[in-house]
Amino acid sequence: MSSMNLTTTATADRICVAFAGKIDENATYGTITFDGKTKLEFNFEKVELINSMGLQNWVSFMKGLPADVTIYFTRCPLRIVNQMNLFPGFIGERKVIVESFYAAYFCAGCDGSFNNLLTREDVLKSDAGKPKAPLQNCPKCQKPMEFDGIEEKYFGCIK
Amino acid sequence: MTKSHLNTLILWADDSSVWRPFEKELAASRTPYQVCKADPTRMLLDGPGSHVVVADFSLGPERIASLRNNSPATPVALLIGGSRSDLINNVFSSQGMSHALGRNDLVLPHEVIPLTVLSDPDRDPWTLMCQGTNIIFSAQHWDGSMVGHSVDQARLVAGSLNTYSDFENYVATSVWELLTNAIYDARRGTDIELPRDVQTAIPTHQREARKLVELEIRHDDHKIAVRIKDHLGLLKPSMVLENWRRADAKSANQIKGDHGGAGVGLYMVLHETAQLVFNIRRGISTEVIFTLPIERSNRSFIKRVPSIHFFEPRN
Repeated sequence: MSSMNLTTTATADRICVAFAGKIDENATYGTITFDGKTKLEFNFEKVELINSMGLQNWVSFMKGLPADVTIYFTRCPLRIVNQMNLFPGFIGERKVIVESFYAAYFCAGCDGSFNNLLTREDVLKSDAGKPKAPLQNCPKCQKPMEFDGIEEKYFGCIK
Repeated sequence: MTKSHLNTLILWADDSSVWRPFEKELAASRTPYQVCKADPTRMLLDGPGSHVVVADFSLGPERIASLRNNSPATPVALLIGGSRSDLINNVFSSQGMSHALGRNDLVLPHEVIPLTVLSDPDRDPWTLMCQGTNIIFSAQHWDGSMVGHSVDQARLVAGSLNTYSDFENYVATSVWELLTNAIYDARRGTDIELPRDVQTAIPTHQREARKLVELEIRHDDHKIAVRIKDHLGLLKPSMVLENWRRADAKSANQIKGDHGGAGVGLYMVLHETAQLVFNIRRGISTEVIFTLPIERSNRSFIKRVPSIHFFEPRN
């Protein structure tokens, strides 16, 4: 039994696949029907964990997708962003646009840790395209939080 | 009062202030040490086995190599800053070291434990690591059938500690990789080899001691400490280092289909832990211990330079 559930929907110009589960040796991804569409979105919001065997299966899956399809990654949890930064091969040697992803923020006042959803535009809009963590306010005290990572490293895959 | 057979640690650096974070912990653990600025070769003339040199990598590879040439029987550990790639390529590959100590401003008590073991080889790293800790999960595995359960539990107990959000994922992934390495990869080439695609439980009567893999997770105020132990003792440090070196070289480009899962897995573990201790009793057992400091901020962990130790005590 696959450790990964896929929910496929279609919009006017995209096929959207939402993953839920673990990217491991038991994860299967099936076949995607494009119906003439050339944009493919992978939503990682509900991916819990990823292991080394799963990583290799994933790379094979990515490499097997049609070359003329543009791939978008959305709602990537920290886990996925970290893997993209550690293993650039995660994107299967092709162009992938990371549209949205989570980033860790820390509120010193509340001593709270939060994962906020950011977009590619959020981090690329300042400093002539050099990725930068946007200001985020604490959902509890509304004061500005610190980005809880190292910008050059964490945003390395957001190009 | 120190025991007479303890090795004295010689902490060698041009800038002796680098040892300050360690000195308090070494004193607390009653580990004998001396700080020295000059080449300690002459101090080693007391005889092999009485000293361990902990050298600051900033001294330069030539000076460290010279010391090792002059006193080849003296164990040497390196204090190093920098990245995990630096550790793989500069310390373990080119320097042939077995011990690298992360150079951090804040040194936590458990980070000094391997130095205590180097001073007193009769001490056991995991026993020392467990002192004052609470056990939060343990499991026994003879096959791959319960790995998923243990990974989920590891994630759960790590998530219950007051830390940053990705902490539980670091712990769970490292447990996952090390458990599967112990259950599948460690047995490769033996008569109890288990293919990766076999995840069903083996019958109780086939549960022989050699197949046992133990998982134990503990914590205290400073750290979470995890041990995965097999009862084969077949792991070689050179295998680990080769996997890391290969994974590090390839990560810059791509993951190839021929890339072994074990190599990628251990590379993930290297990046998701702050301290890794391999304690290998040849033909008896392999313990892999990892720790992560319990901190509120993820950035503190990312900035931390990890420590890696390979112990191969005589049976």
